[in-house]
Amino acid sequence: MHAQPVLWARLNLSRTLRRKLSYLHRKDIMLRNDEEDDYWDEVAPKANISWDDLDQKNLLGATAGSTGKLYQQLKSFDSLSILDSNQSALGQSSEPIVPLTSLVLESNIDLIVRLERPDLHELNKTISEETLIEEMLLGHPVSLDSCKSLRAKTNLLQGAVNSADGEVILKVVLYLMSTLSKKHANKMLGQHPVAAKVYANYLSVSNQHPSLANLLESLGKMREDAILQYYLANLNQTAGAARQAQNIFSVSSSHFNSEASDKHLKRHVKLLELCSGLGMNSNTTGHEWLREALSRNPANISQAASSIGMSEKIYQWISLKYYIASGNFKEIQNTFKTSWLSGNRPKSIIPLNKLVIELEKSKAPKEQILKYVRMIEDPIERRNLEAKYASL
Amino acid sequence: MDDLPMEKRMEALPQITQRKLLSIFDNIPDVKDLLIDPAIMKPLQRFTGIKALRAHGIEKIYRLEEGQVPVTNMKRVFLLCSEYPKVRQVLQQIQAELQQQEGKPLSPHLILVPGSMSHFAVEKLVEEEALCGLVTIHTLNFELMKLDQGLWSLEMPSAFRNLNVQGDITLLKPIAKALWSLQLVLGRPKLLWAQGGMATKVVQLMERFPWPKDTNKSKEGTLGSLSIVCRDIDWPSVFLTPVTYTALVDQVIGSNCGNVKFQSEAGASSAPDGIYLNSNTDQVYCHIKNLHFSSVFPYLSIKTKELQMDAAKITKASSPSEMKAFVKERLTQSAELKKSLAQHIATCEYVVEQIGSSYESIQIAETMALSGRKGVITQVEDLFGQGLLTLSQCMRLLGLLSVCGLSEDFDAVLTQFLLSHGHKHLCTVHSLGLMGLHVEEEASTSIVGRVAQVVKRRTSTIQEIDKKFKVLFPDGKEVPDKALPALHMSYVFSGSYTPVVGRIMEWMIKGEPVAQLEDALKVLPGPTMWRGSRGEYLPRPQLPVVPKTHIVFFIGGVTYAEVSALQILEALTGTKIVIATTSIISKNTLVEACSKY
Repeated sequence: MHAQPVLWARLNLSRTLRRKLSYLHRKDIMLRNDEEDDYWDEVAPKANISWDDLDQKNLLGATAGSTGKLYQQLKSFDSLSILDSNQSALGQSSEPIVPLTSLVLESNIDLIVRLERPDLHELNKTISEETLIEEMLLGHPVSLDSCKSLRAKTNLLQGAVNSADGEVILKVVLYLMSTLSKKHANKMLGQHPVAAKVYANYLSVSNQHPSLANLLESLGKMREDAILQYYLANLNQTAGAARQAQNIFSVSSSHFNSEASDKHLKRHVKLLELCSGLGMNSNTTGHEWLREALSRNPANISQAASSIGMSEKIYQWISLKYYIASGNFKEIQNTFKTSWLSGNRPKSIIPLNKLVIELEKSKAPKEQILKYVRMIEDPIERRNLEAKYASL
Repeated sequence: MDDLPMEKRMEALPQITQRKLLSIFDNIPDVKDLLIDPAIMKPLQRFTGIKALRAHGIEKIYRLEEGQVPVTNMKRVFLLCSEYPKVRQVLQQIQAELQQQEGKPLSPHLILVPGSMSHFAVEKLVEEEALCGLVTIHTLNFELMKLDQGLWSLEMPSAFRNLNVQGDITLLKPIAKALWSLQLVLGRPKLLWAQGGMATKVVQLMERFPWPKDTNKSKEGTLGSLSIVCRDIDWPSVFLTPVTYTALVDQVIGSNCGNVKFQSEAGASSAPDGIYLNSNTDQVYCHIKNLHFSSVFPYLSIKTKELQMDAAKITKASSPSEMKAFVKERLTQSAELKKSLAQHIATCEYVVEQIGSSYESIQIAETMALSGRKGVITQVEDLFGQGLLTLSQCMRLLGLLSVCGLSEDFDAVLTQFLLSHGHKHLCTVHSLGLMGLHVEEEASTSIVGRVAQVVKRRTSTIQEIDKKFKVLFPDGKEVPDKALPALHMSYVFSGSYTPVVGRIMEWMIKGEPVAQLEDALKVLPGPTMWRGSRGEYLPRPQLPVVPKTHIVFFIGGVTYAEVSALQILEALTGTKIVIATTSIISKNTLVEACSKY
């Protein structure tokens, strides 16, 4: 831009000469358009010619070839001068340009320019993130739209977390989730566990489980995501036990990678399979299954009970209670183990005094109660209980 | 006014809550219907009455339940806890009413009491249900309300889950506001102690609220210390089975805003039995509330016999003047005493019915766990087999095993628990991990991860806490005499455990060396913060605390066992200790908080 007045001063061409040059230039262009495209590459710019050196007479008698050279030389000058020469080539007036300010009011110019530059507009000035947080803490309605850049959003979230106000944190997080891609939003939440917890609880409380699952996965909380999937699988009570077993197995293999969890889930799947075999529903507990299985009298119940993790003692207890309640006293002794170490006397894992109490509670016949009282090893306790129940 | 006792001055707080509620009604012109969430009815009774509601434009009062409620007035006010199912139900009801009353100027208002949903989340739901502009939302934050002598609560039951399980800090602001109001009424304490991450955030929030100049100086003789503690500094007090009357009744039956209700089998056809846990109105309760449970029945028997002797005396009364004196002076008292005795006897019987068979085994199991002895499963296997362990008992036992670091026993008990109560409770137990308790080892995919794998634990084990605070078996293995008044705070757990907060308050009251206190506090989770009477930072406290008036606020809930322990300390040291909390941790609190997702 600065070169132009210098150039014109240097050139000092008369109006007539400029007109002639522009005519020749136009002719030159027309000639070139008729020739092959690669002409431009072949024409090598000649040595710089100073306009001051040119003889006016020579210019008037210039040939097409020399005007081509002249054009190239002109090209080497300031680009604006080329524009000017193009303007001349297009046949536009080369009258002096009227200053803009004499055509349009300065204030209007300013208005037109500033409309294109929202950063200069006072009304669109960005409020600092700190101020936004303060306003939200006071409960004033604010728009977070001015926080467009990642830096502004990061500062906003940090400010919200520092405020320790859960309402503010949630507002900011929901704004970020709606204005950032999941990748960026989740990355920011990963850096602010306090904010992540507020958002996760919001999703949990409002039953937005799919979104919660996505959030947990993106935060790398695989265990929590796994538990959520397991919880959702268990919620579905309409599926039968067999279908439920498949669902749980699927969740187990896709989400859980811990041996400890795996063990419990495998047992759950096994239990569901056993329940399915008896036509029981999917929310049957292990104890309920055993009672039902005892009533059907299938084989290998104790093995099945062991496969779902039931301890032998608990298996005995449930069996005993079932037989006592159903009056099937013959089966009680069958649950005892017989060992040569105990002189082939049946030995109960369950303390016999507790078994006696259970028989009493169920109003079992006196003979049955006394039968097991007599098996108690402690002589004093045995004698006392015999006396007590014999008098019934 | 400065001469009034501290708790008397605190009675301004429920009046402030009433004022806030009535000002909302006053801003809604004309007569209105009020529909109240049943969960709020009991707390509402603590600070207002029907007369006050009617005086401020409430014409009809309904219970907010499923199904249609008649529209009597165009202005409808729904007072409810900010819980998603309830809010959703109300919004659907409003939509139905708006459709039915199309063309009429129906104006629904929601008054939200803090719950699991934040105010902003409710606004968002209102917008999603296309009710924005049609429904006006107000917020009502309860101030502390008095449950009993020396016990105040915000009745914020969702705080346990939100803060301890979910780690969501949204409810900290209403808590901070309540504590700020408390200090505006009483003046700032000479010493403020905050222990735990949530507690320090509450102090940070409190400092943002405007403080009038005259609260900067502590009013002489008012408040010596305000202690704000997080629930997670003492989990054993939540998991152990207490032995004192109120604590055991609450753990077995459960309470709601200081009220206990149960349906005994004998009285199945009649109205539920129950007691109000109020020392001021019930003299019998005042005597037995912190007594060993096994000593309560003998006491009730003695009082019953005395009553019978009184009744026998009057039947033998010869002169009309004696009869007249009895009717005038003693009849009402006798009737009240008779009613109270009957209620407490029924309560004792119900508790024995519920846990009589399992109580001893559980106590042994808990003592084994506290001692770090393995084999707890052998004590409880019989109970599992007989179906005598309830869901909440199982959860507490698992929690205790976790805190005591007995992972093998934990796994064994967990296996039998899932079989007896359902495998869906794998999710319930997972919540213990979210609370910083049992954390299962995750199989790492990388070799480095597998080699470096350790069981992460965010809380210190009980053994580490015991080294600093001497909380386990502080009187040796000797069980305190049940018949005598308590001589030690461990009385509440039969001599086996002293609540940590009780121990710390004891040191602060007695003026133990500050270095010892500071060193001990390092094993507790979260930061420690001390503030002076102008809210200024203090590097360390000056002990003992004077004046001898203390308020201890538990963020996330307190048990009646801890309340008993602190009341025992109060009696032993001659100080005044007021216990305040977000809510009481009752029978079902742990299960309800852990079983949601």
